[in-house]
Amino acid sequence: MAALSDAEGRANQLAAALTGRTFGATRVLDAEARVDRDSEDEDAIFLHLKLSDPANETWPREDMLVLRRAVLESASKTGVELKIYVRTSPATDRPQADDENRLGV
Amino acid sequence: MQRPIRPAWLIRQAYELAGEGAGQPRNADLRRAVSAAYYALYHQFCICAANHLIPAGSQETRFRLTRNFQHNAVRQVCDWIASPSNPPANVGPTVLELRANTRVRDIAIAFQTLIEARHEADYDHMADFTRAETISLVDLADDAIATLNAIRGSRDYQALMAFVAFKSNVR
Repeated sequence: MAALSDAEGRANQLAAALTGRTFGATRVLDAEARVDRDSEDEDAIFLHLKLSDPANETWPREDMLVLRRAVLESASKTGVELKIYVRTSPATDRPQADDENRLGV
Repeated sequence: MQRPIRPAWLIRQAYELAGEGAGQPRNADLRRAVSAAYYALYHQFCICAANHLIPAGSQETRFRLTRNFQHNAVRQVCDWIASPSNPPANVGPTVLELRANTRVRDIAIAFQTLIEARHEADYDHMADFTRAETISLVDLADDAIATLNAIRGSRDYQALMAFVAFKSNVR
């Protein structure tokens, strides 16, 4: 239990270290971390980053490559030893084609 | 007519599912796009490993060999490279060399990210996928495939393929 609590503490430190950072044209507006079991049933950190809205359809590839590398570097600095899975979302959530329930399901 | 699984075709399918133009596509399409992106990278790994092991073999021989590379085998190797934890002792020095290679590490991060995202896309009702993230994940797979091809033949590529091969079981 203590080990898990320690991992959660480090995960939160990792999220805090990433919040506000900018990678090219992409800014991390908010970061949330949770420790959970992954699909291999192993403890891992699930990091959700809310990013500034992309200028085009998605964020620049180079920005995202640098961001993903930076997550690992920050993890090393904060003593994280678990696997880290990064998911992202844009600041603005736009409706999807089925959101109005047109299919009735 | 034999039509093999081409990673580039899966990438194209993923981009098509993620849609073009204004608005977001259907949620099911976004989830399928994430899954297709993962499978594109997985199949590229398998093709690379088979070509690396039997470079002079027939195409049929190499395609049959690809059936022996399990998802979890590739995943474990990528976890060694993309995770901050200590790697297994007997492969440790080589894994640390691979971690120091930015391109190899990018490939490992991509695989690790995509296999978990695929799992969420296919099984997790609570997972949310936006168009922006989905296209970014397809980009991630596309870049990793290009990088795998770019480093082909290098010493680190050979080590990566060797790890994938010996973590897999012949079926």
